[in-house]
Amino acid sequence: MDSHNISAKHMNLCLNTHMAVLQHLIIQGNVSAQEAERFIRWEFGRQILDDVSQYTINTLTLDEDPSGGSRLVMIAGVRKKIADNFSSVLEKARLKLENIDIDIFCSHAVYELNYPPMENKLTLIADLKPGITGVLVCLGHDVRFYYQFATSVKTGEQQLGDILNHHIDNLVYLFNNQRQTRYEAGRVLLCNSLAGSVLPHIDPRFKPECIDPFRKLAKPELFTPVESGESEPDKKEPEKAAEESYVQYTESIGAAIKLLA
Amino acid sequence: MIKINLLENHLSVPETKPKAAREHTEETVIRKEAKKSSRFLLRLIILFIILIAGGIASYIFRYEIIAFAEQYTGPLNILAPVEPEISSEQLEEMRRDKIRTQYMANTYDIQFRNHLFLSRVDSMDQSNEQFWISSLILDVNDFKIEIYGKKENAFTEFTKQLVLTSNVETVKPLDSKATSVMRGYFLKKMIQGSLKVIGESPADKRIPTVFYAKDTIINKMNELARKTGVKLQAETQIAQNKGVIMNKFRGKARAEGMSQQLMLFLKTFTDMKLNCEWVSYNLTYSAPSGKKKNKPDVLLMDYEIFIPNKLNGSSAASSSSTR
Repeated sequence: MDSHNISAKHMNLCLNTHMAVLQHLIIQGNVSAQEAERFIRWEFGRQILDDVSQYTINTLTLDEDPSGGSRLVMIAGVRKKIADNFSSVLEKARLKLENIDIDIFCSHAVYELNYPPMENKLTLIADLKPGITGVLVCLGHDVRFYYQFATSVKTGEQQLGDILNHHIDNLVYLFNNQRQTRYEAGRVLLCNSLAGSVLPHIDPRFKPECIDPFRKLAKPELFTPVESGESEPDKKEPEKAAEESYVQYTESIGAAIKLLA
Repeated sequence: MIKINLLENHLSVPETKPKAAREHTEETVIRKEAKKSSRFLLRLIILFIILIAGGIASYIFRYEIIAFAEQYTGPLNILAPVEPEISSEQLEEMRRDKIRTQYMANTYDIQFRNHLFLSRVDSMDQSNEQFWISSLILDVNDFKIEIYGKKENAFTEFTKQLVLTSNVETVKPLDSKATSVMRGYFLKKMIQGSLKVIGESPADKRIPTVFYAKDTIINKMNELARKTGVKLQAETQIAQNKGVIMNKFRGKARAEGMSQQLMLFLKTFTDMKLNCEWVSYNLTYSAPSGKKKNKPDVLLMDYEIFIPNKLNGSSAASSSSTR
């Protein structure tokens, strides 16, 4: 950052879902907050098979029955030691760690800022990573459901696309079945490193596209040295090349958005 | 926008149950009992190790412990006496000492036999006036008696008694000769014979023998002679005959006195069990004149003094005892 004359004091860290635990569970509306917390702790413990006190846990209500019935809660947790290690490393770099987020939620921030909500259709944000794929189901801009499935690290792009097509059908069916609704998948936004390569293999009926973090946002100036006095055509060429590659910066941009918001 | 910050924990700090409540949960009870039992087991193991170590230490230092206890209780006689390690040199010395003491036991038996024979013949001479013994020679096992008699029957009677004497093996009377040397005794006779050989003493038969120096033995001889009224002249400068186990000093002695005194001298000297042996005796009786003798009887003797030869080549100290 010093070489690019960037001065930063605060940092929002976007954590890979590999390093975090994401889980959602349904909590009945009639339970007290204390009981709900005990239930969350117990469920989380079942998931990690470890001491819950070693984890930092965030909860997020995704969906709630307006009549006071059950509510769907997302639990995000990370081992405290990981967070402490990041903090200590950044402290040495004279950066204050403001926030630790999870990559797929940063992608959601990018989506929220750049894409208009769809009426009566679901937007699926698919976070494609080797070994694990997470799908965030959004109704409008609101996250309603999180779906995750594992693949092999060696799974090919076409195969991964086919698997994702199959899972999209499943998760939409599951989503509608839980809520007694009939929503359809309006679009699929692919993010992360495999987005570009898997895109051709996604079923066109889902209207897939790679997420574009600069759809509405102004693109920043390229991080290229200006001292050589480069000509204008030279400036355009990297912009074209960057359009595709910006996908892999989605999480970073989302983290920055959340820091500034 | 979804707000997630994994630096902050949305859940409260886990509740800690009161101590009293925790103590009664099944888990804590089990844990407590397990701790208790493991502690008990550990103590048992430590006790067992201490017992074993104590036992081993007691066995190693048993002599020291008993010695300490005996300071207060007196002799306990619990442990077998410690036999110090014996070197090969000491073993050889013990073997030689065994041979010496056995030899001295044998010597004592021979001396006793000789004394019995001499005393018997002397008493026969004193008790019968029908014959008179002029000389009596005993060299190891063979003896010679020169006897004068008034009649032939006297010799027969003497021979009969001699044969019946214990330890006498053979008696060979030679022909009588007429003589006029001694007044009243007209016949002279030589009687030869041998004493029974004393068998080797049993291995375990040993007499406590004090090995004195040569000069000490001679002094004791002279002292005994004075006590018994015997006039003794013993050689002091005597030759040494070196041996492996014992060195021998052989000398001559001349004793004068009444035959009874001489016998007493011999008996007492034998009973002293000194490291000295009479090898040969030559007793010459003085001629009788009436009932009382005028001249003393003379006893010439060869003697041998035994001095132990130690393994290191030196002779034994004069007064040290070897038992």
